[in-house]
Amino acid sequence: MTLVPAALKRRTRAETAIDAAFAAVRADLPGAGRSEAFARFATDGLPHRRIEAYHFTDLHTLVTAAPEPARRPSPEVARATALAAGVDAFAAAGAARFVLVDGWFCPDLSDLAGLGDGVSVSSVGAGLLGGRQLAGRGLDGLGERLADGGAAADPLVALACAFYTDGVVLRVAPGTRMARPLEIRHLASGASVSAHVRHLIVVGDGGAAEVLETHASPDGVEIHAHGLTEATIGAGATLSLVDRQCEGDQAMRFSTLAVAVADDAVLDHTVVTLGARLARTQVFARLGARTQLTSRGATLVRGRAHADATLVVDHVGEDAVSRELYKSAVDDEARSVFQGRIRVDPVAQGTDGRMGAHAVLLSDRAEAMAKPELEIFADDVACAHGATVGALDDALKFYLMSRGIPAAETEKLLIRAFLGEVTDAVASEPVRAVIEADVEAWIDGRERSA
Amino acid sequence: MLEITNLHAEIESEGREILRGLDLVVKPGEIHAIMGPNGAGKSTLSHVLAGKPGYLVTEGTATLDGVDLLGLDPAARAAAGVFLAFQYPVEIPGVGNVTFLKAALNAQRRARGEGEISTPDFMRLLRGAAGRLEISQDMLKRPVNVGFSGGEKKRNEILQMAILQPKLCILDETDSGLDIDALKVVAEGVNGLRSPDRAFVVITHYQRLLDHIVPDFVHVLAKGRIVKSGGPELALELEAKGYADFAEEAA
Repeated sequence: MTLVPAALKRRTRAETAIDAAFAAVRADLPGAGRSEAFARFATDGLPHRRIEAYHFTDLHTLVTAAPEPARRPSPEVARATALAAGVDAFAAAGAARFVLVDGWFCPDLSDLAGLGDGVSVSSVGAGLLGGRQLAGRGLDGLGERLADGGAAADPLVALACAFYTDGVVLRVAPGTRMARPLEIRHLASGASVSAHVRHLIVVGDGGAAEVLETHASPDGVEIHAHGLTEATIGAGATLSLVDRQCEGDQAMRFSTLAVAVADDAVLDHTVVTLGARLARTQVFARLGARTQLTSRGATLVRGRAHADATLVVDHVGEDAVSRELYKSAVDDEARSVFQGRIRVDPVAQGTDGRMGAHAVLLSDRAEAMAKPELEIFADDVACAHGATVGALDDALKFYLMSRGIPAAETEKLLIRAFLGEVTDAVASEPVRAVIEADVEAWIDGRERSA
Repeated sequence: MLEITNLHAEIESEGREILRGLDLVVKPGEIHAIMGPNGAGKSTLSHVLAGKPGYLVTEGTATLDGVDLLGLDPAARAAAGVFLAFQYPVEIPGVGNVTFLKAALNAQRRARGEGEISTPDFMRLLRGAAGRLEISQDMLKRPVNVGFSGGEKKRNEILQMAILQPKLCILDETDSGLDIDALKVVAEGVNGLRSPDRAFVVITHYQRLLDHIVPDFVHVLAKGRIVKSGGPELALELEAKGYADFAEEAA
């Protein structure tokens, strides 16, 4: 079978490696649709700046290699990885824990007890194996979300669908509230590998779920971590999703959330981006009638890191409220990118959408790009967007210093205050404490490197 | 306490000289009023003493108890005892008023080699000072100056002064934008801080403030220099005649 269209010429080194990797692992990976997904990727390869959605994040140039797909870690490696990763920050939130190492579920490191009746957690890996015998019942619904909002056409989504090995399947029965949050903890063994994970979250009508995701990897190792989460939030249900990205300084992380929010449902989404040399977080959200979406992001980048948050919010029902607020603190020669598109369908009268993207540049060579867009096809809507990029305000610095607060501490106060609008809005106290500590540690790290 | 000798300063970006050989000596316990027409350099003087960026001192000295202020950054000047009550206090979203006051007080104490204040002691100090200035709990909880009225901002400046206990207080047109009731509250706050070890430089365009904060000396600043000094009666004279004479004298 020819996996790569013959017409393709001039593949980059990374693309050639990805092609070879797929050819090598294809036969070992169960599950349908992989070749079709890979073909969608392979046709155009890594997206470049002339593809509008990737104009500011040219993967064709930024991705120069493609480490081999990770193999399932041995129990010894998994244990050593967990030990090296240290204390789980979300432990204080009382969360159950689903641990993956290099993209593979490690049951021995996980604790899935006490989530309550009506809540089921299983692994995608088990579902894939089961699929050979049971026609994939455990993975019912996987792939359904990708038709929404153009997710299926995205090359990163295509890669995740071609290569995925494992992930979480979380199902919350109608009317059921999870007894404790579920943490999905992604760890990396330290080998330079590519990991591909795919999660499925289904919250039944009137249910409530809370998922906390942490991505961690050691500094100095180029890993490529791909993640795709497909979530369906039933009518009147609530999903709270926190994505905390603390990858190492050479990591590349690509995360996509494709979510459908049914009528009267609520999605509360928080993304904190603290690490990775290259990070792209994508959200494709489809909002039904009277839904509420809050998506907030705090991006803290330094060195030569490049962090991109790209949202596509599709209002397809009446009277939905969406609030997106993304703030970046950009130091050294780092770059932050925000792209947000709110689309309002002709039937989505009464839509109330507000999107803000704000960046503070902490060095002369830092860069921030913001591209908020509104596409409105209904006539009775209230939509607004705003974007700002600038340095810390000199007048504020002088005011604080004139009261005796030294320059370094003044900057710290102002950075914390700038990001506070995002972090303060996280409702769960223990989760907020973790994120505030992350921000604090990043700011302290800035002083040390100065 | 404060000694300013032959101070020349210009706006850095324009190279325009604003202060042109200003001399002033302020002793502990004294209140000096500096009056003068618009553009005389009153606010520039306050900014240069507090260390606001954007000004270039080309000649002269300014010392506080022998410490060369001009060589210090604004935070070090504050720790040395300088306090500027701003004409236009800025709003700082995301920084709580109490957090800010405590951070400022402790930063100054650390810089002076003193220990940090305990939270109960700080809260006692804060409650006392806030009460005297009619500053509500709500104002203390809010971010610094955010959503404050003009009068509330000025009272908040005096509150900071009361907490930080500076040696030298510079009030830059603290009366601007205040109605008579707010002016009285602010003036009482300032008068409550008068002490034999503390000096005030009160910059104002109008005599009105000086009915409430009675100065020991009044100076007329025109074209970047002190052109006349006297007692409180000088303020009344200025109120009656205006600044026209001095503008010409200095020219």
